[in-house]
Amino acid sequence: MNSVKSLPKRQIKHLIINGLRFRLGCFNICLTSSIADVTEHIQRLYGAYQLISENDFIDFHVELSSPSKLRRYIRPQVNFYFDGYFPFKPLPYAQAAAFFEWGLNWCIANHSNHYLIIHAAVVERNGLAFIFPGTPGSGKSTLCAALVCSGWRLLSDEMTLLSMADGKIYPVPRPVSLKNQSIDVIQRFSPGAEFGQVVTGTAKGSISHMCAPEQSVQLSNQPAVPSKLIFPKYIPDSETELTPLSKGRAMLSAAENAFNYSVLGVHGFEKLAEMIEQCDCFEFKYSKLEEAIALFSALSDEQ
Amino acid sequence: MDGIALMMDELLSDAKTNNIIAVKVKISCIQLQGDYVIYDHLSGDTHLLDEMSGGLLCSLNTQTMSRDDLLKKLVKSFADLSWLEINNYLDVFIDRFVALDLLNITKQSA
Repeated sequence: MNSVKSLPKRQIKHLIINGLRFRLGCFNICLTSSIADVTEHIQRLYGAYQLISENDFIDFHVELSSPSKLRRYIRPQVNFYFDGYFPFKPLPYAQAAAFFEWGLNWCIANHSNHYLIIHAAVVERNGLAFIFPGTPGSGKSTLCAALVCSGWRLLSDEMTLLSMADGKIYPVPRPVSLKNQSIDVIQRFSPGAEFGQVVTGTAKGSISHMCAPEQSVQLSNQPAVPSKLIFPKYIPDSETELTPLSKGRAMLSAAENAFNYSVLGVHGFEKLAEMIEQCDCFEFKYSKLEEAIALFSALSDEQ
Repeated sequence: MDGIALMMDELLSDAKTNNIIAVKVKISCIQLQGDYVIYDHLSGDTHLLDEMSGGLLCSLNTQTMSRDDLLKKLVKSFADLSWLEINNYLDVFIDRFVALDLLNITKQSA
């Protein structure tokens, strides 16, 4: 099948209005919207994704649309519609593209219990996955974006999908969500990186999405082996410091960062323990991206 | 008076010695390096325990023991600690895990 970018812009717009069906890692998505910002977002950031046929099973049917006629004119809003219902309150119309990304995160995190889903960025080099769990503000997405711009493969900037079947990590390479100062930091770090529009005034501040590298999207059917579990913390002006973390403490922190750990019960516990046993675990403080990348590249070369 | 207090202590100590201690719910134990990670099947809680507490809880998961048996087991495993330290530790261990609803104590009459 063709990729999104192989189509003329007018046809992409037409497809999105009627339901654009595309492959996203191990999921099939059908997106419907007539909102211009959503169409532009897809054209700019989803060009490399493979279109799928009418006959393919769709995991997530999502739609972004205006709630009512009145709300199209007075403080316009946008609704996220998923498999027949509205899981969220509407957001300002200008946040439609970001709402698509957040809504899709929610769809995957809440409906994919054949994976243990850890709130963590995950990148791969030399076949080995480096997992970066982190609370908002820890700098995991910034670090992930910088690694990806330096040649690492993006598996996800937001959720690590640990397969309950084979213990490997399955990619879901999506645009990397960057907030506030991180947008400028990565634009300076990698001037060639493609970004979507900057959406201001969200609950998280200003947001922009960086395009996933084409190669990461093309390799999105290839899982990676968990190798390092690293809890990052961005601290301004700090030295780069990688400190070993006990596996027990790492397991507890990873469980706290997992979306569906409690849903999976003892199976999630056992699968997470398996992953921890095969990973080296660290805490990581940083302020300079170049030093961080050099350190992780050396670490992946050691293996 | 001191003599009576001492006798009471001994009697209470004997009563505690005979208590049967058992794991109350189904748990899964995994040892990761020096630590133990315990999963409580009923509550879904995950606990991180040190080697001593984790080892003890995992032993109790396979068989019930009297307090006296537990004490003997600990004395044998941790030769560098005094009997008093281990005895005090055992009281804290039992209170902690009873409070977490993981252990059950059955009082045995002497």
